[in-house]
Amino acid sequence: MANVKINILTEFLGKGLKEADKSVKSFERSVKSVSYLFGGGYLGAKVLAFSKTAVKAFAADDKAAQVLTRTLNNLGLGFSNLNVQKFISDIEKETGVLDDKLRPAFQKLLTATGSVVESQKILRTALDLSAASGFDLNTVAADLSKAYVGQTKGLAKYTLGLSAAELKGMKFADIQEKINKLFGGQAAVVADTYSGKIDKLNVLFANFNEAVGKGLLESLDNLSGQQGGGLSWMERRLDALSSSLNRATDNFSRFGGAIGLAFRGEGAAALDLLNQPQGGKKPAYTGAIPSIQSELAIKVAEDYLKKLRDEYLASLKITKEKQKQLALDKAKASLAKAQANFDITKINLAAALKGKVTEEERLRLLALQAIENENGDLALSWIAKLDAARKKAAEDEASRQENLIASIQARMNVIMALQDRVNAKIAGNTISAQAATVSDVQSRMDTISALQARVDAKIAGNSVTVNVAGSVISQQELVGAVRDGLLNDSLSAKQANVNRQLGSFIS
Amino acid sequence: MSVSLDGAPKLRLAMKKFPTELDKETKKNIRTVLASVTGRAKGYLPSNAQMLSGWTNSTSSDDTAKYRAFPKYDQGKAIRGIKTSTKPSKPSRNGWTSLVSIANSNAGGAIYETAGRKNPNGQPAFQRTKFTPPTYREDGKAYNKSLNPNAGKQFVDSLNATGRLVNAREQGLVGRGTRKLTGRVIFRAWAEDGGKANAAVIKAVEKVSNKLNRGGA
Repeated sequence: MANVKINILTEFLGKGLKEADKSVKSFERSVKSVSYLFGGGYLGAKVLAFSKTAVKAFAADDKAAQVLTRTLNNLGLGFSNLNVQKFISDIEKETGVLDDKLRPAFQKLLTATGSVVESQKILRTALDLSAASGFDLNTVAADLSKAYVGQTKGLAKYTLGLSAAELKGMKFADIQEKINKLFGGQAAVVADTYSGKIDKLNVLFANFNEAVGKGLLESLDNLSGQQGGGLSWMERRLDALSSSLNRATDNFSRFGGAIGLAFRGEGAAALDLLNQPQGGKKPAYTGAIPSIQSELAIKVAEDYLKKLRDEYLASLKITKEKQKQLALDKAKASLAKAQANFDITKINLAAALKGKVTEEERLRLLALQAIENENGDLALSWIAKLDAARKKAAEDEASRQENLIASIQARMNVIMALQDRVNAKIAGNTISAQAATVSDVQSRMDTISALQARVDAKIAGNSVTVNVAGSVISQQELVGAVRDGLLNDSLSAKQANVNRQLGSFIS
Repeated sequence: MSVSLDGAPKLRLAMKKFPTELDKETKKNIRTVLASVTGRAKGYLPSNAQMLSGWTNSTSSDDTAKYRAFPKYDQGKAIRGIKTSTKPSKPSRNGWTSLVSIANSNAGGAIYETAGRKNPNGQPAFQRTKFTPPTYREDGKAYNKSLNPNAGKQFVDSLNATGRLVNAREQGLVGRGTRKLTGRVIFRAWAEDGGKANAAVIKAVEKVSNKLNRGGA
């Protein structure tokens, strides 16, 4: 029980505590950023779990690479190391076969043939044969390498159409030619299938995994200051918080960023991020990895691969469904077009549009047509244009009426002006040229009055004797007789005046 | 009780640069000074016969049980468990590190040292009342699970009969203080020492510091 003690001399390590606290917070921020990239559901433990997978993957890959390099060196072909590595990398990308399988197969062929060029050719043949027959690449490579040295028994299972005796009697070059003739190009065909694409995806993820592991180990090496001792250093320092963790933040951030890019499908960018040099240095990691004592879980890596596969399958499914939907839409459109040929309403509308219609009517018809075609947006656009046209027509009408009113007003003004002129004339405020006319009228009125007086005088002293020959039966005949008499008098310059009152004559 | 020193770790580091005898000499001086306290403390540990027989009986301990049983008491082991340490401890969460300490590292001895200082009547039996928070459980650590409801009290009383609890906190200090400076063995010895050992330790450190400052061993 460590609590039961008496502390005699103590010191406050506040500075160290602050540094430790800062390191913890910085580290927590880094882990949180990585866990955010993981979708919020993965915490530092899962990051470590993924790290374990990555480190193991890189370890295995590095070991295989070293073994192949050693083989090349032993055969005196060390100068071809880079060429071989590039060849294997290219084949990996082409066929989707992981370098974990390619390297051992190539190594078998290399040891049998002793030639890099020959081994490359036979490896391509082995890939085609493996793709066609379904046998594992390593098995095929082993059989071909044995056949190269004369042991052709293993080739019987590939049913090349050759008997055992024929195989035994043939040269390897002829056998290879036969295989290429039968199965040439199979690997490329398989690589283009759905399964091949999944394999290529696996290759991408595997390479990413190895790069992450490499980056992580390089980070630890940089922290420890000793190449290859990063892991053991990490174990010693796990219990202590040091300022080195602040430097690790950058590494973890890049590491977390790379994982995030991979999740978004940007594998190449993720690899670039991890391969960025740290602080200007690019240490080469060449040695074998020391034994890993700490255990890390591997579940995250498997979950990630499963997620990639599921997303790919889902995308394929979506594409198929989209295609189905497109086909359905096309059929629907064709059906609608066919239906339109027998739709009376649509026919009427079309016919109406062809006739002489006003702009407003045309727009209305177009809107109705769009409604019939169930094109709501188009109908609304026509309706909007119709409203605009109506509005314009109303404005024109209002303008016309205004003009009419103005015109009427103008005429009224003219009439009023004439009226004023007439009134002015009557009031005597006229021009001197009109004065003679007035006096002329007055003199005529005097003449008429004088004549009237003379007529009255005449009437008072005159009488008319009407002698009617014969008999007068009716009043009509009497009136006619009097008229005739007056007419004769007037013609003879005699003035006559007849007043008729109540059916009698007063003369 | 503990004395805060500034620069003591640096002093130790500086001492490492000098001949090793200097660092050894300091440690030796400190141990010598503290030997009086530890010697006194070892004398306060009772014999096995004075303890409850069930606690010292070897048939009821981790010799026979597959789990870590309740630690038994043995005087010899308890005496050997009282040690002086001059190694700097791991910094606590508050940032303090101890450079010199006296510890009671034996389990039985530590139980004898501290039993009853929290509750002289032992752990209470669990009782759920309307005031009991719902998170409290009957099988919680703070409750007596023995069939004998007075088991704790009887145990503490038996220990008190062999040695009393003494508070080693210095008088006159400001604040409420902690009960963790209370005990029957080392704390009692330290309290009865009266600070003489403390002063001597500081003097030993200052002595070596003066030597370093004079520039020689």
